[in-house]
Amino acid sequence: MPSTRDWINNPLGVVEGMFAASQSDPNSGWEAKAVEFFKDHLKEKDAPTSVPSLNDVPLHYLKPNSLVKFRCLIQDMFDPEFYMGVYETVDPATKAKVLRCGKYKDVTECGVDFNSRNTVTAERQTFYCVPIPGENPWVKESYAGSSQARVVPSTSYAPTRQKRSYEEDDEMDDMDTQPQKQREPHPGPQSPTEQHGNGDCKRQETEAPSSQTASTSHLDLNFPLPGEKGPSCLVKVYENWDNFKLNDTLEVYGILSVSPALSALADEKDASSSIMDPTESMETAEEQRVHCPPASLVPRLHMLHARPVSHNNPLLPSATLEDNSAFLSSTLSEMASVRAELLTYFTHILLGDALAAEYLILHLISNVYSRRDVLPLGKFTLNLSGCPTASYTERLYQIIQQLVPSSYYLGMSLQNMNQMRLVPKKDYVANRLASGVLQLARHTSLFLDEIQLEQGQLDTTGVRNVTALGNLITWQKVDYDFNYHQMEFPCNINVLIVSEGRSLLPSDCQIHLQSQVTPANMEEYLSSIHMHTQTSSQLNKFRIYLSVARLLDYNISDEMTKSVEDDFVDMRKDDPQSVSAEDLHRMLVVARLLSLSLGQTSLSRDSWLRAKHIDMLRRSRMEQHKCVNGNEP
Amino acid sequence: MDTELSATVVVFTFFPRSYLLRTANKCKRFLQEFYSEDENGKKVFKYGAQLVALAHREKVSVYVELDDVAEEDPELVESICENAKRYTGLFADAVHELLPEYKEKDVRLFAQLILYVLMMEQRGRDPLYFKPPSTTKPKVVRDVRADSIGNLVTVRGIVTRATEVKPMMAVATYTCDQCGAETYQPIQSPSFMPLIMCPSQECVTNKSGGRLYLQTRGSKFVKFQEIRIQEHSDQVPVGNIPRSMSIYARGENTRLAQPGDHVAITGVFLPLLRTGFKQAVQGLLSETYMEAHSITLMNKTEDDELGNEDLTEEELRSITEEGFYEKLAGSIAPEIYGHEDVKKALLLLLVGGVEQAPKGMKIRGNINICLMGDPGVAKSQLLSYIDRLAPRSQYTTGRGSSGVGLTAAVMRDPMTGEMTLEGGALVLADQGICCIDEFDKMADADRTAIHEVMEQQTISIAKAGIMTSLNARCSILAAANPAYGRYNPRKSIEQNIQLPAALLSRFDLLWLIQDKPDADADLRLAQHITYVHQHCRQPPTHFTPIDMKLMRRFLAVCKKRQPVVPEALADYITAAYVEMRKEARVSKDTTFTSARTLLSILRLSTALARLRMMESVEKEDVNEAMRLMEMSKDSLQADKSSTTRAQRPADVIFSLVRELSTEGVAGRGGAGGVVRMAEAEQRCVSRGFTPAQFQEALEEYEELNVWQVNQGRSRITFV
Repeated sequence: MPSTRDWINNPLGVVEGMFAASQSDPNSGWEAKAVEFFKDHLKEKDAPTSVPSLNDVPLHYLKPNSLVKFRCLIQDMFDPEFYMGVYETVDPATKAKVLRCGKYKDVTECGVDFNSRNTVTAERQTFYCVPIPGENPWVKESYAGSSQARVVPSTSYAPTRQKRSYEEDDEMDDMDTQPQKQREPHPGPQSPTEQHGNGDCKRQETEAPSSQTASTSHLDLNFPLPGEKGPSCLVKVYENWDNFKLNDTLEVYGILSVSPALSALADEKDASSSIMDPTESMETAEEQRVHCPPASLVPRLHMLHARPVSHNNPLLPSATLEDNSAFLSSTLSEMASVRAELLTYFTHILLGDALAAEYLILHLISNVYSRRDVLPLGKFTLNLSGCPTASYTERLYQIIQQLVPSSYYLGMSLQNMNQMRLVPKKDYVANRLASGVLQLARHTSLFLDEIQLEQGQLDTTGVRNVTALGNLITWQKVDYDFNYHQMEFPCNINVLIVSEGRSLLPSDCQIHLQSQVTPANMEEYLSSIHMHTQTSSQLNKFRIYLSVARLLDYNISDEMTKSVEDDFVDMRKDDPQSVSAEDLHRMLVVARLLSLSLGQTSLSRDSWLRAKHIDMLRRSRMEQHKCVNGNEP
Repeated sequence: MDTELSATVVVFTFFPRSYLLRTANKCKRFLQEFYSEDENGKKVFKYGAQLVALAHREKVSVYVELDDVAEEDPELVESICENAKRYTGLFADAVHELLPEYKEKDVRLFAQLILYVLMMEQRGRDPLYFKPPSTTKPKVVRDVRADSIGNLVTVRGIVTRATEVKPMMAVATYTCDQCGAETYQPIQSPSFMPLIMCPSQECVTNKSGGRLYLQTRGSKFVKFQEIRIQEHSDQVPVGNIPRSMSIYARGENTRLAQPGDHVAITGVFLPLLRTGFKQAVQGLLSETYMEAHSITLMNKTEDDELGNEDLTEEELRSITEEGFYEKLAGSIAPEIYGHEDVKKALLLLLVGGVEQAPKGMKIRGNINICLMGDPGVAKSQLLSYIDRLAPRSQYTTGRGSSGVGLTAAVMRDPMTGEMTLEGGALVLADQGICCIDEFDKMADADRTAIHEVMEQQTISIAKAGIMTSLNARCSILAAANPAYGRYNPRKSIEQNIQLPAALLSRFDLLWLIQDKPDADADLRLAQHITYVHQHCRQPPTHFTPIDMKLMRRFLAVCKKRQPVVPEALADYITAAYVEMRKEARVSKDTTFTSARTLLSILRLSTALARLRMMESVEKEDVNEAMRLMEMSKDSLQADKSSTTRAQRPADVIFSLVRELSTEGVAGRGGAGGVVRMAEAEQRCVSRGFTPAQFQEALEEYEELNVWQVNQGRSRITFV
């Protein structure tokens, strides 16, 4: 059925057809119509799944100029580009002039009349997008499995190779080796020196000796997390780019452009630096590399439509929950039972501590639902103290990794803290935002392992990193370093700190693990935890449960508000030192999360009392441990 | 204008010939005829003078102020702004044509200059720059869009990169290998095609085929520099990356800015045209740059002042309406609940009192405030809010700063070996506010360094051969924790704060922020918090907080006022002060009431008058100042109500004696519970009790059998 698939295989043809049809009528608004056309097609049942995804199909299997989708995070925003929205071509043989549309493509046919008066300059915006950082393997597999797009090696792959003939010969080798290199996992934290040994870089250095720093980061795709894989993409946005923000997660539907001419442009510029032309050397070689990387490495994607990703859990329908009431009601009815199962599971993992298990559930479904001025509401950073050994925390992370869509494990060892780049920093030489670990999508679980921390000296970077983590926890924001000033970027990251004693970082809530297992049996117990893997259907249930609970709406009725207020005043009357405003804040958050975890969308008297009760239990437990550890004020 | 940007490139719009001629004449006429009148009513031909200077090679460029053009022909200004590149050329042509007329004397030529001047006359325009009309608002980089191409725009930003200044060829000079004739080629674009064949009469007629060779020494080069600017952080919408823009600066505009400078740049926004192969592969893209006409440096404070055009009537009305004082105070750190009086005090700190300098004596106008309080009562948030709000401020913590870091350090320059002074936080905060957090954690030696600043408002340095005094006219806002972590109402204020009285008296106001239980306040607090959780937003208050920028501008306007204390009020204030002194003596005030208190009241009242934008202090101002003073004292004597009865002299004497006895244990060891009578009496008298009171207390407590006095009445023994 060639006609129905045309909009996937040859979207440019569709756009051009519409453009040509609109020429008779200048006010037809064909641009809006074209976008509408693709939107409509994507609304069809399983239409989205039939579009191949850049996330799971290797780039060389995809047809150039076809419609693809990409699930990604906006890592950087470049300056806007001016391009010819409409241009005129002259046929050398017949001298016939044809108006053409310059949208959604990078490369033009030959014979463009640059001095034509019909040229229309338009503006578009470029975003540098990377796959969602920390996306867990089960999510990737599940998405890949559900895709119905036929991924056969496309026939256009060979022609692409031929076209490369207008690059230099050795450049071709370079291009071929790069995709593999990119797939090599970066060991350890990203450091530029590690890539020094790369033979490719050496070659680059001999070519451009003046730009040593440029060559080292040539292959740096700027992923926020070390060891990430996958393609990054330059997404060209044609409309409403003001609606997109940095660190937004999107599913972009767009036209893939991998024309090698794009990278030729960059290389050609390097070679021809002339003294006669001072403007030419203005853009540093490094900037060129970043903004015009080889298309085989960083493909261009011309956005037709983008859908904000509210969650990246493949088990949930991608539409918002309100639109999918059937799914919602079926899961809501099951929530209480799933919660009970999950509680048992967590209790088992947390060495038989049911209270800690309860708090862990609350933590995993927490979400910054609103901000009042600078104060984020709904954050719930949990500090799990009293964890036995390092191997235990790693296992705990593996289990959490199995349950949440994206997560990252950050061992807070001195080395890591002193060397890692946590906060993104603007690199003015390359004119881009060099990413850092804390540039994460919302709802990412950040697992901080403080057990890795040993005695020693934190240097300047280390202190800055610890401060950044503290800011993240307290304000849910990261101050990106723009060298001359800092800029606040709000975020929404669930931070879980595991530590021996009270953590040196602030937290909303600390709970000391009370092991029901005797130290003698600890080893045995620990090894059995790992064996106790859940069946996949059970795991899927948990995964759905956690994601749904986080997305639910919640409200407090007026009479509940009244009774909470009275409660607070009463508590203060009895013992003013016992509850402060912060405690009330926290208890309201606990009550909220508790209700949501039970699938209730409004606060009930019971939930409030229960929230008060578990908070009291936790605090009484903290009292016992006050004397044990030295971190108390 | 957001998405559909279909602006055509207007730079190269072609004018009809007649129109062109008319416009060229207009330009010429303007340059010739524009004049302004000086104070004697004499006509001053501004541009005529510039042209003369140019003709004599005393200047190298012409500046055309569009404000002047607007006086003659407002429409012309509009067209200039829309098509600046074209008009630069037109004006330059006009200048070129007019120059010979303005040459009043023969310029004496130096040998080196001959070639240059010859060349200039041969070809080449002098650079001509436009100064934008003063009515244009600087744009944000992100608002310079495709529709601004070709326009004269002004943008503001921070310089992130500036290249080396390079020579760029403006006129290429060639010599012929056959006839030796020189040929000039003016160059306007970044790249050019060199001439090959000699066009001279001789070569052409002889058909000798003379080849041209480029002479670098004879060519004219202009300075060229590329600058990259980036938006200010406050111009970036939340969640966006700052945009940047390339600026090409030529000639006199080069070397004006360095990375990190804040600049305002006026220039023409132009597309960068590529040629040849590059154009083909680049295809649909065109890069853009801005051709700089003027670059102005500004520092951060001036930059703020730029926004300080007089407040509009409407804004002024919105601020000065009923209850503006409460409203302004409430707009300080609106996210922090309560503490109205503290916020009022902070508001006065921001405005500052009037500085007085009668007969060489200087009395500071800046208000110093110290906030004390239990941990977690948002002291630091208040500080950081003030730091953000104040146009000029420094934030530091007591832990992280030494006395040297606060005042000034003498450094030896590693290159030249000269001594240099480097200002510390207090010097940098001159005319602003210095916020010092964790004031109590500061080492005593460092703390004394700021005594001078707080009263004299200067820092004197006498070390390593440098003797000088630097201005540090700043208000100090300090935050401190009580000595024992929490405020202990059972201890005296000195014990709680552990700051020397010399320092405390220098603070105009001393606030204790305490977390006190109070059912009413608790309920309001609970309502506030639950509302936020319920509705995800700030509860509706009777006012909306004033925007920070507006507030800054309003405060700047207030600061211009210099209110005076009218004669009639002087008596009132003195009387009030005397009353306060008397009261302090009677109630055994824990704080210090001194002459400094009187000055504080004056400062606060003038600040209040400033806030009302009045030229004189009124009685209400004084009353409010005294009320704030009183409230701050009240906050210190926190639990007066909870300590049920006022202490009788006898009780105080008893506690004094007991203190003495415990001191004895610590000091002499073993003499526990025994106090020498003379010593005890001396101590009590020094605290302002009469010997009679002492005797009375002695007997009273002896009767209670708390202590015993020996026969000789020389020793008191505790039972």
